[in-house]
Amino acid sequence: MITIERLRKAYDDVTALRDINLTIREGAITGLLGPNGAGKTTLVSILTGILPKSGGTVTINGLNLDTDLDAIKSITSFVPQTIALYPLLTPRENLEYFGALYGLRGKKLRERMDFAIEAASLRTFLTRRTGKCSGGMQRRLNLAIGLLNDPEILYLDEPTVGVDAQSRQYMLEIIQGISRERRTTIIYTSHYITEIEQISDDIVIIDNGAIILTGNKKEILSAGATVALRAEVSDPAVLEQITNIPGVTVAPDSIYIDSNENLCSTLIRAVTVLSDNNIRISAIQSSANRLEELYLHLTGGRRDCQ
Amino acid sequence: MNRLYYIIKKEMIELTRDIQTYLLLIIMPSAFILVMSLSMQTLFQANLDYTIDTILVDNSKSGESKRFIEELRKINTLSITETDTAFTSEDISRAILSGRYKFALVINPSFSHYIKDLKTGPESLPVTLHVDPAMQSAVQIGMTNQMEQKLVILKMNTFYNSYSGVLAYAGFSRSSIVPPENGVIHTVFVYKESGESIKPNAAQQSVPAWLVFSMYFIVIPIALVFHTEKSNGTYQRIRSINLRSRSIIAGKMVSYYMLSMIQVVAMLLVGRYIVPILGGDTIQFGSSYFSLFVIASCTSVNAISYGLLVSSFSKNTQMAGAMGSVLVIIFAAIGGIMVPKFIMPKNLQLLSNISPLSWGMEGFLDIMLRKGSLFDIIPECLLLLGAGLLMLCITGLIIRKKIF
Repeated sequence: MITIERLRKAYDDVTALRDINLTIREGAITGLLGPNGAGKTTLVSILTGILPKSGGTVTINGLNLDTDLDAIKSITSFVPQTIALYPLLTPRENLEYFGALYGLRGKKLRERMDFAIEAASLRTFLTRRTGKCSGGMQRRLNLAIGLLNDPEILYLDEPTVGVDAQSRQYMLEIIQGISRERRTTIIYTSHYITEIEQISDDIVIIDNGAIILTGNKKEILSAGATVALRAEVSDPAVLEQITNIPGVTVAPDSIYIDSNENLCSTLIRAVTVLSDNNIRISAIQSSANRLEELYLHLTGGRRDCQ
Repeated sequence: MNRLYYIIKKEMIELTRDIQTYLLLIIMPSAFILVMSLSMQTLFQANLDYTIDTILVDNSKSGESKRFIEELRKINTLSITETDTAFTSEDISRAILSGRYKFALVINPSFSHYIKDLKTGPESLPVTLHVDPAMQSAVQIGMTNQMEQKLVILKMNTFYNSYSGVLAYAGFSRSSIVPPENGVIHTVFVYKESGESIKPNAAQQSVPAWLVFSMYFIVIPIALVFHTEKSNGTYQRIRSINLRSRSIIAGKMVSYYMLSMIQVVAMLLVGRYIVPILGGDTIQFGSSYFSLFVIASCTSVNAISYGLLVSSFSKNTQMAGAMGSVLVIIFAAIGGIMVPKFIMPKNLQLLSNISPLSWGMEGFLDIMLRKGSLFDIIPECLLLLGAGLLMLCITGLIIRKKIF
């Protein structure tokens, strides 16, 4: 678990992060979403120890970022936004090099390399020079290197930038597989809202260096959801019966039922009233929050994300 | 040690697969050594083998002038074209300005009198030499001295012939009056150790200087790798790993040291085996291979430290390449690589003492030319290593401070 309290980062005359308080659940995929310059990469860079913070406290799996940085680095892994590889080396040589930098050696190094190769399906590309591999392949290798030290926490900074839809989907499946099988805590930043919506358990929206929304994805998306019954109710007596049902709102051609724990019973009562009065239901529609709409609403419509 | 091994392994794999590094550090400097050794050969050697086209106008038409012309023809570097006396000063100017002739030697009518009469001095203007202003002063002075020598020998021979009886009676022989053709001054080269001497030649004198010069261009591949790692995120990734920056610096130092030593060996082998094939002088490696290895190692360490410092200080590859190269050229210029230090102004000579290229070159010259021992290069080695260590410390501080 990562606990962040009053985290602050200031450059000379720019405040990149403003007193951030955040808790990241252990074993969950947390999607970090925000426009360009919102502070996502700064936050990840501080958590990985690449950047020093200006204030606040950070605890990662019980370790303090100020005093236990070496220990923190040994249980975390960072996959940068850029393809951080050596193009003249083969994928195997890249894996071997970074594995050695993580302190792996001998049999352990070979085992971890095999795991990363299998996880990212790199087996058939191991001997070609990395610079000559496709963009999708390089992205998978970029990710595979992040798996070498079997991290408890994996930071992925826009890991699918520049890859085609198929490769992106494949990478998302790999990441979900890692989370599911190894219970790795994953912090995932992305420009692609659909990606965050697809793979995240929790969502954090950050803008102007401050967190503007955080929570469980299902809860965020289901908040304010409704079921709409398309029917024309003109009889005032019927209208009164329906409006007396708790959780029901009536409009000229629709009846809205709040999507809460009483949804089923409320729905049955409303349908029964309409049926008893021979009122035809032309359609039943369910509507939930869409992350994109929520995101645009919260960030003031800035369309830096896709 | 495991990490260091893999860092060195990775650097060496990258270097061996990068053809541009070979070109920059091995092929180009080797070609450079080759060209410089051959082109500068004539400046360093005693017997010049180039020829200077010279017009000769004999306005004296005397037996003395004919003998003088015969002597002048013995100078290998002069290619004499004799004209008739109708050749005017305008014709001479035209011939020289056309660029075909560098010298025009006019033997004046007073020449015969000047040779025969010991009392007649140079104010009689026996010979006038017209010179192309583009001619290098050193070459001009050398040629003038040779002509002067021929003139003196001719005059003294004539004098001896005229008074041989009296002079012989007084105990003077011809050799005691007439200076010898090959001069009077006996040259002895001074070496740090006795034994078989190393004859100075163009390659022997220029190879160490250009070798040291080339070694410092290792700044370019170092900067390229350094800034590529910075821009493509590998450095960022490495910083997120539990690894000290000194491990990375040490790995790079060892890898580039090996590359630098390969460069030294390649350039020395070119000087030893390729330059002679193309007509140049061969070089000798000096008194001790081990001492040569030591000075090469110290120069390498200094050059690599310089490369790392420039790379860490600069913002991008272009800046590092430009700044690194220009500084090397400046240090080479003040360090006596391009122009001998002794002909520099006094202030510049003092400044040359702070040039690492000067320390390296003097160390190489100590071993390869002056037959020095390991003991003789200790000051240069200490300076090179000390400055290298200082540059590494500054590099470490910059890397630690900088935010990538």
